[in-house]
Amino acid sequence: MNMPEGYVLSVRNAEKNRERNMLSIPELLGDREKEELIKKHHPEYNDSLYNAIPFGKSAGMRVNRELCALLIEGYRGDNINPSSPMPKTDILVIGGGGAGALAALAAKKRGMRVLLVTKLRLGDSNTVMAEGGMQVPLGKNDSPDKMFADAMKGGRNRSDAELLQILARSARDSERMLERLGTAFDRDENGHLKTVRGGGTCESRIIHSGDRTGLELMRVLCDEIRAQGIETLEYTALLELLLDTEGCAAGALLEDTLEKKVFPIRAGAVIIATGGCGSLGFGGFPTTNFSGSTADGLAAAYRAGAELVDADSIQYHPTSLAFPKGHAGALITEKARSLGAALVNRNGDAFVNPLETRDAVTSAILREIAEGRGSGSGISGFVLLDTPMIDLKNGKGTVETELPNLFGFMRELGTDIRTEPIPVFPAIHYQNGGLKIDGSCMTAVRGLFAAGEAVGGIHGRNRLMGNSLTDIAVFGNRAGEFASDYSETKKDLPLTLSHLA
Amino acid sequence: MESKTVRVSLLGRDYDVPGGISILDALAAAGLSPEGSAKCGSGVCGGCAAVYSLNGKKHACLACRTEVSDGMRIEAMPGFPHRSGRFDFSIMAESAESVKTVYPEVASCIGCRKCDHACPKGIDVSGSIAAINKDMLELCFESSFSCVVCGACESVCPMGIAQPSAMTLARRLYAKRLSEEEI
Repeated sequence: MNMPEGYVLSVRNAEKNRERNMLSIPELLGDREKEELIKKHHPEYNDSLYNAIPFGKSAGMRVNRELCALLIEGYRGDNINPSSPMPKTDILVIGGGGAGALAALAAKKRGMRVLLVTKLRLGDSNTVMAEGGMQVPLGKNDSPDKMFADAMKGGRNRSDAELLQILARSARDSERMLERLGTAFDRDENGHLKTVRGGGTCESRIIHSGDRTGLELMRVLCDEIRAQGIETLEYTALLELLLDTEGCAAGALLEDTLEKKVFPIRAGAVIIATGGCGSLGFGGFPTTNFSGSTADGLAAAYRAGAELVDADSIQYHPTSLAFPKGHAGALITEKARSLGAALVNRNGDAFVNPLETRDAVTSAILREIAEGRGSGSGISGFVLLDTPMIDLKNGKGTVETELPNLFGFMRELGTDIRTEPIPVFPAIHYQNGGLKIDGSCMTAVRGLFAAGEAVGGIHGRNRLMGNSLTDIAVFGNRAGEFASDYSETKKDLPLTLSHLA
Repeated sequence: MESKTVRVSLLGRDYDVPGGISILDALAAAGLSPEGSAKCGSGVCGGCAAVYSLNGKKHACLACRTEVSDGMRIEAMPGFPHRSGRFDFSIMAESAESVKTVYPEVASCIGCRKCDHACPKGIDVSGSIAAINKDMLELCFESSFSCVVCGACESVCPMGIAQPSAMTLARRLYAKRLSEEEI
């Protein structure tokens, strides 16, 4: 692979200082230092990337320009006559990733008629790409309270405490549920779950399946959805939500994207599980996301009257592959840093503690590049992730055992990460905020539930490694259960499209 | 970094595409990618399984992870219909017998190894199916673990075996057994 200018020089400097960097690790930042670093360098504080939403429950809230345009857009085609007969289901799940699959399974278990629709295939999602793992407070010295405290601090104290308590307290039960479904988490010789430590956590509590935990999870969930015969419509996109005359969510306007046919469907309750917004490409940054992550459900829900929280808060994963350009944005898992790889600038200096929270690490990388200590400049710049430290710190063979996917991927591109550092740059990774929900996963619109990355409030202004998989396991399941409770007693009322006028 | 053009054959026609890009990106550059198609770009979603010939040899690959080279003839395979059985996982015995009950066709494997040649991940698919037949769930688990459920193997099997689903069920049962054995 042709390396851009500056790579060879920075690698040489990294090698020269490797031993020193292995022994002398930059300190974690104090709260004030961290706030300052983030304010100065994080894209979240770059006002030119944002617009204020001009209408709706969260009017005036700033969101990324591209998302703002999407909220306004909406379906402009022929409207369906809301009083014509149409197919009906109890629970309409929109989104075929982890949260959607778990919501569908929970509702099915409650005896509901379930229809899952996804604009691509079942399983196409950010979930399938998740690598590092899932936070579960398992250890002797660990507890839901510690997990809560870590996440609250990591989110810069902006999380909804009730939702975060639910996350921390339900994590163990969710993990057991996944095991009962046959999900394979890595175990040691005694059969105990192996864990790694993620950024911003006081205990090692991230369980994983190799370095592709999301793939394992989705393989299991998709298999279970099919085994249970849950009706699934693939290549079926959400256009708008339908409300009834009392303003409750009562269905959706969908489009079969292969046949190019628009059709309505009535539902007792609707669950939005459409994931994030990274593919909208804010500010020209690359993204780690699946191609379908365009905030469809968030936009439709907003137009139906839902409220947003922290929708301007986007997490940039500090380490995505900087080049070759065709693979720019490919996720380089935080697990590499959990295993000891340092972040090093062009002078071979480690410039931030590798297990700082992602917002701080991203800001530090952008600072190095802006101040001339990175290689290249602007969006084409990069720093190095010094992966050769991993085997040196943990023993020969660690990379191959613990990071098989990353090792194989980089080897195909011509880089042996056991001896060569990886050039990295931040990429849009996770939508920290999103639809506001209460403890039962209901949005401001009655009968409209949401779970997964589309939801805001749980992770505050910055999500910790491993908490997204825990989030979908806990809240995906929860949304299915509460939507079922609601749907059981819901009476059918006439539908209206007045919210789209 | 210069990027020269390479000439590749995509679905039967020649195109000059930028060098250094993946086959998937080349399909898009040539206008052959349907809009809104599945793309993870990371080789995990199984949506881009493809076959190409180069210098007289055929290779199975994941189009998002394979770079174009001059002279490649690419036959991309769109997503496969996914066949899978109906069963209640919660009451299944954690043995290979359960897999053979849901997918009895695994017993009819003739060892032709077409599946192995079609697999873009280089998995020993026939070996994994043989492991199920020989009641060796652990072996199936180990050998099939990197499967991305693309369905290429299933599409070429002359005996109609649904390998991705059978291997997934075998792995699920083994994982469940392991989780119950925790000391």
